[in-house]
Order: sequence, then C-alpha cells, then structure tokens
Amino acid sequence: MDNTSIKKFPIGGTHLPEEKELTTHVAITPLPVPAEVLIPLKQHLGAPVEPAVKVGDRVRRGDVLGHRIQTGIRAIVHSSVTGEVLGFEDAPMPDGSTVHAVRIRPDQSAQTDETLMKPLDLEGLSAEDYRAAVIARVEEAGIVGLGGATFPTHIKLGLEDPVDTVVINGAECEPYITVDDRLMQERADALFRGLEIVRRTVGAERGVVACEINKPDALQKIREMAVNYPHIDAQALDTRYPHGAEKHLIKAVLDREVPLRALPSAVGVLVNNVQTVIAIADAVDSGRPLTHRVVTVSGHGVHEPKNLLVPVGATIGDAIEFCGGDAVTDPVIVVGGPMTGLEISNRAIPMTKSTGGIVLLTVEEHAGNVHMACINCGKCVEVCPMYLPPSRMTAYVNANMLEEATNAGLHACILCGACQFVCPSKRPLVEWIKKGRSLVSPVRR
Amino acid sequence: MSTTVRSSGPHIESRDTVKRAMWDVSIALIPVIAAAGIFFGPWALYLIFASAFATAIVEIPFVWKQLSWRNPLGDGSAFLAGLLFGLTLAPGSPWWIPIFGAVMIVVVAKQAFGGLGHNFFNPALVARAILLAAYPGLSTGWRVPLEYDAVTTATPLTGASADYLELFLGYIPGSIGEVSALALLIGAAYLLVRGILGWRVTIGYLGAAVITALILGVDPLFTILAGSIMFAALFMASDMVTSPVARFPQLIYGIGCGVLTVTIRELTQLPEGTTYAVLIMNGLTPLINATVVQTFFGDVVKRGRRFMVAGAAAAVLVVAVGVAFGTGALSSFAESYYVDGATRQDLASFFPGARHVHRYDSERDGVRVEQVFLNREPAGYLVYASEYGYKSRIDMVLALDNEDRIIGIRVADHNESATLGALIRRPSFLNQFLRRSTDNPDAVVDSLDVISGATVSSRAVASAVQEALSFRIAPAAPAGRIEVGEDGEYEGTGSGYNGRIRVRVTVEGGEVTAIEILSHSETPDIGGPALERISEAVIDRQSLDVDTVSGATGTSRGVLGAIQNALGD
Ligand code: SF4
Ligand code: SF4
Repeated sequence: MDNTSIKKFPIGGTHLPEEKELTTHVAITPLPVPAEVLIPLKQHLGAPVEPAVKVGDRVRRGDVLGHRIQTGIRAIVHSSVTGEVLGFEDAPMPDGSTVHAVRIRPDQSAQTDETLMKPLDLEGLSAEDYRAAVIARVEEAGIVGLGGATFPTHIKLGLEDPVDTVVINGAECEPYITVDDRLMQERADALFRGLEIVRRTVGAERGVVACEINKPDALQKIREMAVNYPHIDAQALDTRYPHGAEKHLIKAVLDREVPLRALPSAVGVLVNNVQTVIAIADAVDSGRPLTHRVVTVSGHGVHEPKNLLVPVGATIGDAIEFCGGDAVTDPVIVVGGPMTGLEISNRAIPMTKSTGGIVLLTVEEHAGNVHMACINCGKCVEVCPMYLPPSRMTAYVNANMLEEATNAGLHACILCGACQFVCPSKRPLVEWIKKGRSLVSPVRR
Repeated sequence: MSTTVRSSGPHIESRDTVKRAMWDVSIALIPVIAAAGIFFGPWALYLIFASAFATAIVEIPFVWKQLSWRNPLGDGSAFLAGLLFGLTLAPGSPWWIPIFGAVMIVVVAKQAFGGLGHNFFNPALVARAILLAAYPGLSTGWRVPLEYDAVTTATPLTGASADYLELFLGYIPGSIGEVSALALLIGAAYLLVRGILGWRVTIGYLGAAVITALILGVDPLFTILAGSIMFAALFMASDMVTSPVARFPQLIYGIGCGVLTVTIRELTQLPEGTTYAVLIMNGLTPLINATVVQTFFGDVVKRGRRFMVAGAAAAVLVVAVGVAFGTGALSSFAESYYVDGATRQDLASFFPGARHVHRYDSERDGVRVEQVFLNREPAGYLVYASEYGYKSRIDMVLALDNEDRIIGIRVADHNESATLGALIRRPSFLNQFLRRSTDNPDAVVDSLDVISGATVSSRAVASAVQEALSFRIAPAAPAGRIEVGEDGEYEGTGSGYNGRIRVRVTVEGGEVTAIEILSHSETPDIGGPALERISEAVIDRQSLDVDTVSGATGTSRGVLGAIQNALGD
C-alpha cells in the first residue's frame, strides 16, 4: 500500500479546533497514588460484576475486586492500588447515575507490591489454541474498549464472523485529547506487538494503524514501525471529525460501508483502540491486568495540561489538582472529549476505564445556551456523517412527530454532535435527538 | 431566541453565527455595489442603501429585543434583504421605491410568516414581484451604463457594441445589480471562500439555464451573461432560508430555477423570468426537502435500489426526448422561437424585454430587416447592413423605432485597422447617426463627420447606414384605392405575425367583393379577429389604406400584404 496516501470518509464531517498542541509534546506522567480510591464495579458496557473482597481485606494492585459469576457482557475489575478495603458505596458517575463501588485506602509505602499473572507463551500454539489462550487472558485482565465505549474486549475478539483486517483507531478526532497520540509516540512497540496478537487471534491477514495527520509525530512513529511489520500498514487520515467513529474509520481506511445496525465484522473488519491493544500486549507479555489508563487533562481552564497515567478509582479532582488546578474561575469540566463528553460539576467522580479525557473549558469557548430559529442553511446536513437531515429530524421531534422523526433517521444518528457544532443558529440538535429517542418506545427502535 | 441547558452533546461551538452569515453575504455584494456606482452613478447608490436602511428600520419594532446600541442592525438579515431588493431595481427608479420595498419585505414577506427562518419566499423577490404587479411601468426606468449624467430614456440604448466581454465587465443595461457579471463573480468567490455560497444551487441554476437555452435555440452564453440570471443564481436563489437544506435537493432546486427562468423568458411575454422562477421554486422547497431524502450511511440495500430506479428513469427520459425530437414535435417547436445569438444581443441592447422578431423573407443587397415585437406590439426594426471599408467588410446593426428613426447603432464586425479604423466603434462617431430617419437617407452621407485618418472606413459606415435606411422605404405600407384587374378570383400570400397568410380575393365589376382567408397560423384570440376586421375594412373602403388592428399589427400587415399580392401588385 502507498504509505503516504491520506484518506478520509467521503461525505460529511467537519473540521474542529484541534487544541492538541497543549499536550501533544507532554510525556505521560503517572498520577501519584491518592489518599483514597473509589473503584466502580462496573466499568464496561453491560451488567455490574460481583464483589470479590470484603471490608477490611488487604488487596494488592492487580488483585481481582469484582468478578463475573455468570456469563454475559461483563468485565473483571482489578484493584489499581495496594491497600485496605474501607467499604462499599455508590459512586457518582458523569452521566448522573451511581454505580456500586469499592473504597480502598492505599498503603503509600507498598505501591510496588503488585500481583501479576504469568506471561503467556504463545509460541508454537495452533491457531485454535492461540485464539483460546489470548481470549482467556484478555478476559482475566479485565480489558475493555478504552476508546470510551468499554465493550468487553474478550467478547469482541470471540465473535464468530470472519475478519480479514484489523484496524487500529488512532484517529483521536476529539479536540484536546492526546491519549492515543502520546501512546503511539511512546509505546509503539507494545502497540504493534498487541496488533500482531489481535491479528493472529482473529485470523486476519492485515493490520492497519490509522492516525490523523494532525498528529505528525505519532504518524511518523507508526510509519517507521510499520516498515518492520510485513502484515501491518500505517495509514494517514485527513483531519476530519468524526474519523474516530468506528464505521467512518472503516469507510475511510478500507472504503467499506458497514450496513446500518450491523457490526464492523459484517464487512470483515475488527476495530480496536490504540490503548486497548497496548493493554492486550501488556496482559499477554507481562501478565499485567488493566488497572491504569492514560487520561489527558487539558483545556484552557487548567494550569498545566498533562497526559496522566492514572490508577482507576482516583477522582477527577485528584487529576485536576495534580495538573495545577483551575486556571480560570468556574471552568466548565467535561469528561471525555468536548464533542461527545459529559459536563460535570462533582469533582469526586472517580475515573474509570472509560475516562479518556478531562477538559476544562473556559466560559468563552463553551457553547452558549441561547439559540435562534433554524435558517435552513443546510450546514447540519452538510456535515452529518450519517447523511441525515438533523434540522428536519429535530423539527419533527419538537413537533412530537416521532414517526416522521424515526423515518428521518432518529436512530441512525451516532450522536457525534457535528451538526450542533456547526449550526449558526446554535440549536441544541443533539439534545433534541436524544429527547426524541427517549420518547420513542424501545419496541419501535 | 430561546435557551437550553446543555448537559451532553458538543460543549464547543463553531464561530459561525447567523449574523456573520448575513454580513458575509452583504460584504460579497460590495463589488456589485461598487460596479453599480461606477456604471449608474449616485442615484443607484441611493436606491441600494436607502432600501437596505429602510428595511432595517422597518424591522426594528419586530426585533426590538435583539437590538442594542452596539448592535443596531440585529442579525443583519433585514439589511441584507434590503440590499438585494435595491439591486433588483432599475437605475432610474423613483425615490420612494426603497421605502415601498422595505415595508413589503418586512411586513408581507418576512414577519407575516413568523420572522427570519420561517419565511418560505425570498423576501427581496416577494417585494419585487409585488412592485412589478402594482407598478409595471417602473421596471423600465433604464439608464445607459456610464452615461448616467446624460440620458434617462424609456429604453436603454447603447452606442457601443455589446460583445461578450463587455457584457461580462458591465455594459448591460438592466437592473442595478445585474450590470457586471464580473463584479458578481468576485462577490461569489468571497462567499465560496467563506463557505457560504450554496454552489449546488448556483451550478444547477446556470447549468440548467444553458441547457434550456440550447434546447430552445437561444444563445446560451448570452443568456447567462446578460440580464438577471447571474445575479439570481448567485445571490437570490441561493438564499439559505428559502432554498433546500440537503445536497441533492439543492441541485434539483437550482435546476428547476434555471429551466423555469429560461422557459418563462422565451415562451411567455413576462420579462421577469428570474423573479417568478425563483419564487416558484421557493414554494416547492418544503416539498423537495421532504421527498428527496438521502439514504443513510450504511443503508447499502436501499441505495442500490435507488441507483437502479434512477438509472431506469434516466433511460426513459432519454428515450422520450429522443422520440419527441424524432417526430419533430420538439424541433419545430424550437424553430418557431428561434432567435440567433447576435439578434438576441441586439434585442437586449436596443429593445430590452423584447423576445420576438419577425424576419422579412427577402434579403436584398446584403440588407436584412427584422421587425421587433415587445409584448406583441411592434416596437421597431433591426436592420443589418454591410459595406466594404478600407480593407474589410463592415457589418452594421441599426435599431429603428416605429417612426423609422435610428435609435441605436453598432458595428457588429469589422477588420479595419486596429488603431484608426477601429474608431468607427466609438459612440462619439456613431452617435451622429442617431435620430436619422428614412425620410432622407442621403443626408447621412452628405453631412458625414468623418474620422480623420479613417475616411474610407467612416464613409463605408455611412453608406451602410444609407443603404439600410433606403431599404426601409421600400416595404412602406401600400396606400390609396386598390386598382383591380378583370373580374375573377385571385390568390395571394403575405407574412403575418406567426407565419404565412393565404387569401383568395374575389373581384366583381371592378370592385373587391369578397376576401376569404385560406390559411393562416395567427393566434385565434388576437390574430383571428384581426384577419376578419382587416378584410371587412378593405372591402368597405376599397382601399388597402386601412388602420391596422392594435395589438395585432403584424397580422394586419400580413393580411394586407397578402391581398396586395393577390391583386398582382
Ligand atoms: S449527531 Fe447525529 S444527526 Fe448530528 S451530525 Fe452526528 S450523526 Fe448526524
Ligand atoms: S445548521 Fe442549524 S440553522 Fe442550519 S439548517 Fe441546520 S439546524 Fe438549521
């Protein structure tokens, strides 16, 4: 493949302010272990896991806190610190819900004390055994999709559909966030190793690492690496939101269109996030479970934007403090990216496997709350990557014409927010789309 | 305006605002406004800015809450609508028109629908349509570009020639905003850079106009360069509020505008093709928006089906058009309205609004005459004549009014020396022929003011003019009592408004006793009665010197010619 081509998905999308400069050159630093951590027993898409510890237990970093006792979509939760279990409580989550969680007081002197699994020796295994061994290890390590969706990775790897290409999603199209950017620069070895493992696990011929051109250092690095891997290519993507949306990434990289409501495997593709694949490499080669993740703390509202390696269960407040605290009064705190993330005010919310970024926006850059009538400018339609008419869809929702709204694509929307971003009338289109969805009975979906 | 609390969704927003979009369009109009100032002078600038400010002022009570001392023009949409309206006016419009327009724009076209974003029709065009309906005469206050301090005439004349380049730069007599295609394009380029121009609408509009012009046998380049199409395609049809939101619908809408504009212009007597075409498509916009829907990303099955249906429809269309042309239905239809490019240019320069000519059958001595009709009334003649000059043939075009006086003249083509010889194109030279008439063609040559150094070329022009004027004397209307021969029945033909008229004249006892119309292709409602009336009058008076029927002069002259022809004159 032409190593220098720049690809993009064909229709829709928009260019966002990137703001990656704040952290793209800042190396990942570990967040010091806080006085207490609060580790939720559900950090994945699916049902919570059962507690495996009792109050007063001493746990080591890497010990299982919650395991699955039934089959189903669940992922094991490990302790991110060594210390004492103080109790169980409901932890607040960014979306306003609460989740059962374990509170642990870390033992500051013993943080190098760590429980590891035995490294896997995959040499000489048959394809069948290789696959079984990797999937089992990924499950034991509690790995979920770290791009934000947190779908348990062992289930994704275990799907039956034949896969010919594994695509690594390094698009990272949200402004400010530089998690994958830094990981591609600092841990490219582990990334390529992980990709090779995944590729062999699902029996794909080819692996592709895709990265937007607004991350030149990362792109340079993966291009250099790809030279040594005959089955892996590096692919540059144009800077366009939402390249990180799974189906649009596939469209851009491979020009395959995943049918509505189908999974990428329908077109023979498996997409994984950069950090997820690195976690797989760590679990297989070092036996390390997923207890930490990289979080970008950025924005013009924080003193020292940083990329942090955080123990799961440390709070958002801990991370902001470590980055020098607020730089402005009353910054708007967004968990995730500024496009799809959630706005929070409670800094005691613990970070989980899904927390990719904490962005402190100044009031000026934060979207206002005044909107005007739709002027039919068509910008929202122009940028919608799903080819929907957001203006008409939301007009239907507001007129309570749910049938028409559904036909116009209410449920095909991926909630990327591109439409709302560009709207000159500042209409809260995503808000209305979500409202419309909640009004339509689940049966109709 | 209303407020919402955002918990989710994008927490950042683009810097685009409605206000910014409106001002961007206003900025894009600066080159056009400048061109209007240059070509039409201060009065045009008054009309433009008076419209803009008047509209903004009339809107104040409706948008009171959004205004402040720092933001006196609100979102700028009223100001913009006023600007656009001002640009559609004729440069000689009276002072009160901007105020009239402002009230129409704000009250009728905008606020009656619920304000910005809720109006279905382009406010500036609504105001213009009302103006046209209420005061049809106002659209004719034309002025000659570049001669604004001199003449205001009922019809724009130009002494200079109107070739494509000049049209492009700005010699089009017409509305203020239409004067220079170049200025319009500069503005459009700005919009394109700012990402505001609805280019699908514009491309669809211009493309469809060209194709429709080709089908109807009209000069396509002239169609889009002269007149209002360029202005409408760039600034009127592409108005965001009243055009469709999605890609394909925008294209369809643009195509609809283009087809309708050219069709309305060519097949009806309405001079305002663009206004009505765009308003009609505005009205269809909600329908297009709701019915032409793109298949979703990932809906591969449906998209495949769509492609097949579209392919089949295209095939059917191609076959249908082919069959229509094959049976001659369309080709004869096109032919009957055929006006070639050169003639069209001359019509636009000398008889704006006129779309129809009647070409005299004979071409004598290299002189060709076409009678021009404006709204079915004879408006004058175009006479084409040529003469050999210093080293080439000089082709002249003269426009004569109904009194056979020269009201316009241009050099269509010549190959004289590029320096002195080319001076014959100058208005300063050509203007001496204005108002010369057929009464005394020779005076043209006798009192000629030659260009020193280009005597031969000057004389050639004069003699071409002389010839042209002489020729116009020949087909002057017959007069006096008819001289008839022996008793009997005689047949003859003449050319009416739409084609040949055949008559049979019965002579008994030295008098015309009956006139029978054997065949004609005049319109049944106007031409038909005229045929009867003229025949009766001729029998009544035993003379061909009868009054022509008003509104059917062409037909009247045609039947008189046929009678004369039958009687062997
Ligand atoms: S949020 Fe939905 S409607 Fe808006 S651009 Fe994204 S996919 Fe389209
Ligand atoms: S972007 Fe906003 S104003 Fe423009 S059509 Fe969409 S909803 Fe309407």
